[in-house]
Parts: sequence; structure tokens; C-alpha cells
Amino acid sequence: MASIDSLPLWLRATLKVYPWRRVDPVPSAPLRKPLSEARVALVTTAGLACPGDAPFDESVRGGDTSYRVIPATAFVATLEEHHRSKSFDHSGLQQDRNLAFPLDRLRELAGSKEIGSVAPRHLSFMGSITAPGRLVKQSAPEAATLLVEDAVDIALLVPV
Amino acid sequence: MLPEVTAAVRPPRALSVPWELGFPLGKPDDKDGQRTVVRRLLALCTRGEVPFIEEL
Repeated sequence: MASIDSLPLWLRATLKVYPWRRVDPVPSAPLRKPLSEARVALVTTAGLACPGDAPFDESVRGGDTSYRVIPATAFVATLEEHHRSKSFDHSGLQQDRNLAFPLDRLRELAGSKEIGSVAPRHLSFMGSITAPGRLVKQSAPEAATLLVEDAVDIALLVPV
Repeated sequence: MLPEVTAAVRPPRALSVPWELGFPLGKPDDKDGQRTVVRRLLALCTRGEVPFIEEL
């Protein structure tokens, strides 16, 4: 299991004193239909983008808080990874993007009618954002609006 | 991916997985294993009380 103690010393020290934002009370959105009728979207923080889309910008101080929309028709193997962190092993993700963006698995579950449908649009963010103010106030609410427009019932967040 | 961080930020529903950073769904190209994780994630959504962190 991943642990802060397994990270480089400088990162351990940073994370242990980082002022994590605490949302209180924790928001709750109960699922109001069976999984077999639910529309499911993916949200990844692997910094994935479709070929031809602008890459995430590694030079942004505090992290690039923009997001990319990945359509349900995307060919998962061709998605480009722009995650800037050097603190994790990228080899698995380079071999199989489904590790952090399991769109192919969702398609299979929709095919077997375990979920109602795959959402038409999915979201990709960059991880390792150390200054999340703009993400919290602007990017995330804006991106969530897209999922609401698409009548998404479940959003699965896959951090990397 | 980091239990200490998950506990700090308190997402409504979270699944703790036994793999290292960079491998949130386990092994690459392990379709069965990845489907198992996605099914567990979906099952979390059927629970009403939050927040909670479940072990895979």
C-alpha cells in the first residue's frame, strides 16, 4: 500500500505539514436509482489528454488547474499522459491508461448491463496541485457542471 | 492513494487499495482485476452514510 513514509524525504516533510482543506460537513449525494440504471463518468488526476489537445502546463507555479474533457468515444490507449510528478512510477500508466482511466472497463460493465450507461464526457485533471485555490473555486465547479449537463449519476474519481 | 491524505481531506466515499502510487487499479492489462476495483467503487455509491473509507 502506498504510504507517505515511502516517499522521498523532502516530499514527506511537505505533505506532513501541508494545510489540507477540510470540508465540513462532508457533502453527500445519495444515489437515487439502481446501478443498472446509473450513468457513470470518470474523473482522473493522471493528467491525461486526447491527442491534439493542449498538454497540461508543467511550468505553472502551484500546478496547472485546468482540465481536459475526454469523450466516451476516446481510444484509451492513445491518451497522452502529462502528469508532472516524479514521485511515482509511471510505467504502469504508460503501459495501460486504464490504470487511472478505466473507460474500457466501464464500457464492459455497460455492455453487461451492470451500469446503465457510460457518460458522454469524462474529465482529466493534473495531480500534484499544491495551490488548489483556483481549482476549488473555478475549474472543479465548471467541470462538474458538464457532468450535471450530461445527467451523470456517479462520478468515479481515480487519483494516481 | 495515500491513506493519510484521504483521511485528511475526507472524501464522501473512498476505496483504499493495496498498491503503490501510480497503480490505482492494480496491474496494467489486468482486465479482471480492474473490473473488480471498478465494481467495488460503484458499490460504494449505494451506501448512504458518509464519509467512509473502505479497504479493497
